[in-house]
Amino acid sequence: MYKKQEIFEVKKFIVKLILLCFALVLADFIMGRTLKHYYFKINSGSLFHITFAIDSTNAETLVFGSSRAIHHYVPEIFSNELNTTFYNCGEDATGLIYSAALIKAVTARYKPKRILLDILPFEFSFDESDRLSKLLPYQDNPAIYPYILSISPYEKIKLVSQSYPFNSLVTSIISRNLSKDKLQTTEGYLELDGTIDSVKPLLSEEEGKIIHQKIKIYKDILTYLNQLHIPTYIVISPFYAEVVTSKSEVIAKKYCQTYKNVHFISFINRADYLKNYKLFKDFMHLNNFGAGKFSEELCEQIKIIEKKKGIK
Amino acid sequence: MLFNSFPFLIFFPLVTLLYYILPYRFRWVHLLIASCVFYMFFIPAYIFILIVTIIIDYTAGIYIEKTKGGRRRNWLILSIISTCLVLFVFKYFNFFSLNFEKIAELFHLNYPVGFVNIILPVGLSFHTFQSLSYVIEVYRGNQKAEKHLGIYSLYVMFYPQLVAGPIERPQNMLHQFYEKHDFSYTNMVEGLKLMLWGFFKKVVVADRLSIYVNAVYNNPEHHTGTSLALATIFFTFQIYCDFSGYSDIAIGSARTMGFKLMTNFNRPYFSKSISEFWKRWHISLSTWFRDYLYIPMGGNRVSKPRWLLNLFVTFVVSGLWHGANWTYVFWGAFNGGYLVFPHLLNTSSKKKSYSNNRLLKNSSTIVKVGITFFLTCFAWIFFRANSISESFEIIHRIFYNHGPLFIGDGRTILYGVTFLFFLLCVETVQEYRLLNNFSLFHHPNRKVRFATYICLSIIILLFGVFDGGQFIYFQF
Repeated sequence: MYKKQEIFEVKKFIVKLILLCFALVLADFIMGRTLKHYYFKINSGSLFHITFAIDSTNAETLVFGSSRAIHHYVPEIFSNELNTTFYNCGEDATGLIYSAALIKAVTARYKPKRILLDILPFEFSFDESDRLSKLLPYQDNPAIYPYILSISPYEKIKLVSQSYPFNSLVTSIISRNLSKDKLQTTEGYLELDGTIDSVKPLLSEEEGKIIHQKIKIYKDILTYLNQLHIPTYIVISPFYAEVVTSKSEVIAKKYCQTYKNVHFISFINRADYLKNYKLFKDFMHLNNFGAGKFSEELCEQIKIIEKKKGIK
Repeated sequence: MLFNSFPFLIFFPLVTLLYYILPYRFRWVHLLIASCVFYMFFIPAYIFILIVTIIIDYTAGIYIEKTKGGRRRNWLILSIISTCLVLFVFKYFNFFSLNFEKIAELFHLNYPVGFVNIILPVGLSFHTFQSLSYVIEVYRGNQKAEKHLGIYSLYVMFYPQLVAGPIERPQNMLHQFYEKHDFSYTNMVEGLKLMLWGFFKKVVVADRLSIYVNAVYNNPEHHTGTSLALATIFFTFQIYCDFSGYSDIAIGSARTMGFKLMTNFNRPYFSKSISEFWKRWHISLSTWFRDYLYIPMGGNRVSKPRWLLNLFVTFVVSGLWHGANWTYVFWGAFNGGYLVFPHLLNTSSKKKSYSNNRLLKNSSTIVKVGITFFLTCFAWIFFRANSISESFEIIHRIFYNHGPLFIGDGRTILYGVTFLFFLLCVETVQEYRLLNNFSLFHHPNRKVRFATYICLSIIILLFGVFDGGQFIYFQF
């Protein structure tokens, strides 16, 4: 069977491995807790913007979505036109699942007067599972946790590590804590200056496979908002293209029709936006001029819908 | 199963633990089952392709040994053709079909053969080459035919090197499956260290750099030459860290069970010439082509033009081995050209410098390493670009279209460059034996070693890219 020397080596290895594991767990714990402490002390920049949206905003009208939401919805216009307080909860490089998580977290705290959810033109074929890591620091929030689990089947185990939620955030946490910037008052909106460099429109046909998991999440969030009686507007904001053929648009519209409090508004094939390079910064984003025009037009439509439905 | 996936974190300790717990006579069965499970994590049905090639080459090996004269040769040819046929059908059929179709179009001919919609089995080129090396070695009389089907299957399927090498030789591997590997503290620790270093290279460096490379190379028409040049340099390191990282994990995981796989990378970017680069890069493949293609074609024991042709053809075939795309053929041709061209100009005479001036020697080394690195970078453009026309567009932009550098998410460049610098420092110390061969992993002070393991693990946790996906060489 096993020789004495072999048994000795096995024991030596096991002892050292246990010691190493113990030290590693301790180091991970200290590192993770420290990063967590400083993460939630940040009071400016994009990380603060997420924390503020989840924990502090109390605006009557909220917009959720990707970078398209951040750059397309001008708060002053919404505030003036709809006579409301407004906050833009959009976040770069995210999609529907991220927005759904944020909506659940915010509505668990208070009931906004209306919600605008900006979805991507090809939302249901856009795989977002590798874009949800921004939610990891908020794992303690019970409304967000279920969405974190959709990142991968092993997320629950990965979250045993205290450092993992702050993966790739170390420099941002350090720089933001050292930064002297004060709380920004842009209501989450970031304007883009300039026009698109290339005037050749992008391929505008949705070719990706539809992800049914995202449709399920979409249905769930619509049902949830409908039950809360929050007037909800699913919006597809303008896109720089020749003409857009979007399966996602058809799907999104179809489900909106089944809910009383949910309305669908799409701008992707509006003639005054298509190929109009003066309104765009790049293929996906309107510039400040385009954002202003879009915000005004959207407000008009919302007013018409609300007037029809008798919403005050 | 990917080495950088969560299931592997469970699979590896479990397989290694069971390996040592099980009695010696059951270990090969255990490893074979584990290897099957490892492979079936990709597309389970493709295990049958492996089984077919295993049975063909196993049978061929026995008959090559048993028979004599022409029949021996026939068995070898049968084995080579059938193994290559599998490779051709899955990897090259569409490529050749598409090109024949274009030629037919040129001559206004009808080309009725269609496009076959199949997914390339993971690591097909690796295990077919490993199988081929077995039958050729048996034919040459350097290796006895393996009578034990299970052991032979394990030779082809041994999980650490199944999907991306190193492409082993039967003389190095087969006997190891018969040896009883007692638990060795040294093997275990050295194996784990190598794996940790491999994970660092892959998850922290390669996958981080890949974010920038993909952003730029996937839309080259929207990027300036400056960004494309940086992306090319990043790709040069990305592919090295990706593949050598894989090799380190493979060699390390085999080592924990007492198996010794061949070295696959030896700090290739410190090479002073292209020929030296190919002695340090993907060594198991370079030596495979040397032993089974270049030398059988006559190697350098023929007339000069024939020798240079042999050299060039070997590199073109090596390019095609990587993938069924003209970009890989060009990449191979460029590397072949780098070696052939100086000989055509008669400028490759080996003048030895006897200068004792250290500064002069060091400067000469830096210049040579720099030139080799530049040439390698240039060839990688073809390897990474999506098409030949795109490759030329990228080259044109690099030289003529200067402008602002694309930053994207600033963290990509910051983290990528920082950890790449760290990696290069470690490799520089190893390469030039600086600081008395200083190594944190092999430091005499136990506490320093311990701290190194913990720091590297924390770096992986904090800066690793966990959704980086598969290894580049898996597609080959």
